[in-house]
Amino acid sequence: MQGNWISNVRHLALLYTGALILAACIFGTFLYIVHQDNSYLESKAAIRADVQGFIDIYTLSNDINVVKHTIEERLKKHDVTSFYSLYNHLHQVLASNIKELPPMGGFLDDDFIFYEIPHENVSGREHFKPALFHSHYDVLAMTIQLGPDEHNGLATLIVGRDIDTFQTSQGIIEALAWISIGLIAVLALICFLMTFTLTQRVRLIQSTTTNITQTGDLSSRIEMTQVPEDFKPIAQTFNTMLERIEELVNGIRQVSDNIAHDLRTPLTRLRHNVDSLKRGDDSVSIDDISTETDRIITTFNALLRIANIEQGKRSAGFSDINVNTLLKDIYEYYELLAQKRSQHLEIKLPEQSIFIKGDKDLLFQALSNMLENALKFTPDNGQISIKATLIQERVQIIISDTGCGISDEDKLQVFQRFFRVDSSRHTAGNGLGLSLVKAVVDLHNAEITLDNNQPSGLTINLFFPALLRI
Amino acid sequence: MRILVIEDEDTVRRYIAKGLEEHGHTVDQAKSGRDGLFLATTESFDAIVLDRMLPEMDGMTILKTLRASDITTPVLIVSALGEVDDRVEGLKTGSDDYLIKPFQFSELMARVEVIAKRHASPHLATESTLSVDDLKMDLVKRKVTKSNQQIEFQPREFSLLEFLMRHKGQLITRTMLLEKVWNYHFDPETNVIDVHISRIRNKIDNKDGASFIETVRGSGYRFREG
Repeated sequence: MQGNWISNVRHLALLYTGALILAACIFGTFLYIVHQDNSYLESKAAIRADVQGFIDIYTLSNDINVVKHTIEERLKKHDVTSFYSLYNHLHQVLASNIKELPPMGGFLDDDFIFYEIPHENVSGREHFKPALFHSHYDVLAMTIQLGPDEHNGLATLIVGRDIDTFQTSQGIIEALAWISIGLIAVLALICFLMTFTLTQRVRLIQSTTTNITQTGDLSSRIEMTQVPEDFKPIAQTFNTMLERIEELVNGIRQVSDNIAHDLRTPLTRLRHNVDSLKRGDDSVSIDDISTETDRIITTFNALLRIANIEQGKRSAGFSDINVNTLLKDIYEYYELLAQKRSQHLEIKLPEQSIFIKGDKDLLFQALSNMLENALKFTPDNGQISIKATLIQERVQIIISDTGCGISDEDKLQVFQRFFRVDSSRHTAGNGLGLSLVKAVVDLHNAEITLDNNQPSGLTINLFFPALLRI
Repeated sequence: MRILVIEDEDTVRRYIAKGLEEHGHTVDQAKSGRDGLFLATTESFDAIVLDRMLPEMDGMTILKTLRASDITTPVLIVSALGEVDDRVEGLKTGSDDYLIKPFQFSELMARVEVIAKRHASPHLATESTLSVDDLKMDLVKRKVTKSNQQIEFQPREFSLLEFLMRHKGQLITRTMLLEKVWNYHFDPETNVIDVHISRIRNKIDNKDGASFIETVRGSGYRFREG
């Protein structure tokens, strides 16, 4: 179950966003704590130390003027972050760099007070550039009473520190935090949008497959124009796969249609003949029935054979075939038949034997099918030739005749099972001969082309990968 | 001859047995592989017709067991598994011939007779001359003479004649000739073999009188014995 949860893209996006937020929070908190601890406590400590210093000076001298003097000395140094105001018991300013003390901003913890002092109210600091976005100094201060002594009454000393720098960086941290939160939000949004579009894109492919599984209609394809660029290769592969499957299924469909037709016809004939015989009809003989049955068996065997070859499992039984011997054998086998029909069968072989890898019986069968066609469709005195040549590591076998040839549109179809050129319907044959040739050719990784022979007839070119012998 | 038929399907088995009996042979029948093996090992036969796919014990196992126990009775495998690989496997295991279902009875008969005879008279294979009447074949010099007149023969024609004469008196089917003389397993659409036979007839036959090679209608040929 865990695996499923992780593999869900949306959940994964959620997980990433969560992790991002957590990381940002941890980092921000850490930064904030460290900074606050340091700056704020440092300022407090500095003020306390300062105050203690003045108390010591006063205790030693017991004279407020010494304190005043010390402050004046300090102010000359143009310290940029320290504020001092010393008042006598009459609230008259003795020494100060604050022109006018604003009302108290509020009490903080540990006797500290907070003031917001406008820039113009601070003297001796004109050259100092105030912190960004601030019209006033944020001052953390401590007030102590000194005295009374014999000359003066109770004096008041205010020691302060500018905590703008601290507050600014705190502001920056805060801003950073907000920016981070914003960024995370944006990232999360992008993440979800991406997940959404991703699912949406996959859904396009999914809808096609669902359509196919539900309707069995293999003709539907993924609309390539709707597929985003990065998904095109996978969609393309998918479409190619569908095309191949459709082709195969159509092939099977067509074959079963053809079987239904081409086997049903002789079976019907057989059935009629048996019926006639039962009725004592003299026009039908047992021999007719026997012949009809044989024809059905032959067709059936041829079909099975093609299917078997097309499965391609026979290539394991390949051996080295001497093309010269093979062609001589086939020539010798048909030579007498051609002579008997007054056809001229000739053979041209290279002087040196050429070899291919293959199945001897299947090759002989394929050659036999082609030659039987050639002999069947070539008129008396016609010419049939068998040639073989070795061209650039390929063995070319050419079988040409001077028969009626095959029209260009039929050339595309002759390799289909049971296809018969109209003009050949009246001749013997089951329309499987060239299908078998094609199957054998494919099994041998060979190529077959059909061309017109001049002035008439058919030329079959076969190209086999040559077996080069050393 | 005494022939054992091991085949589980009743129709096929009876069909084979009946045919063989009509040709004057004695037939023992076995319905299962186990019964078949029992008969084959305990009794003596001239030939065994063996189906490949049998209940209890398949044909190939029976064949292996027979050959392993030095029983050399010639075996003809009859099988619906007709691809070259199956045939090669059958022949390698020690069968003498292989026939694919469905088959014509004459084809089975011819093959059974050939393997039985080859087994019964092994000396025939080593003969150096074959003769019928005044027709003589010298297998060493590869010459054919008739009434001491030499007749020219192409190598393939010579092999064809040799095969027929070796099995004189026996029915030889066209498929057998393709397999044994041409050495290719294939199904020709037209009976080209007939043309070759008629060529040989022209060379060896007398102008008048019966041909040496008799045509057996619908089946094949038989070389006359004398």
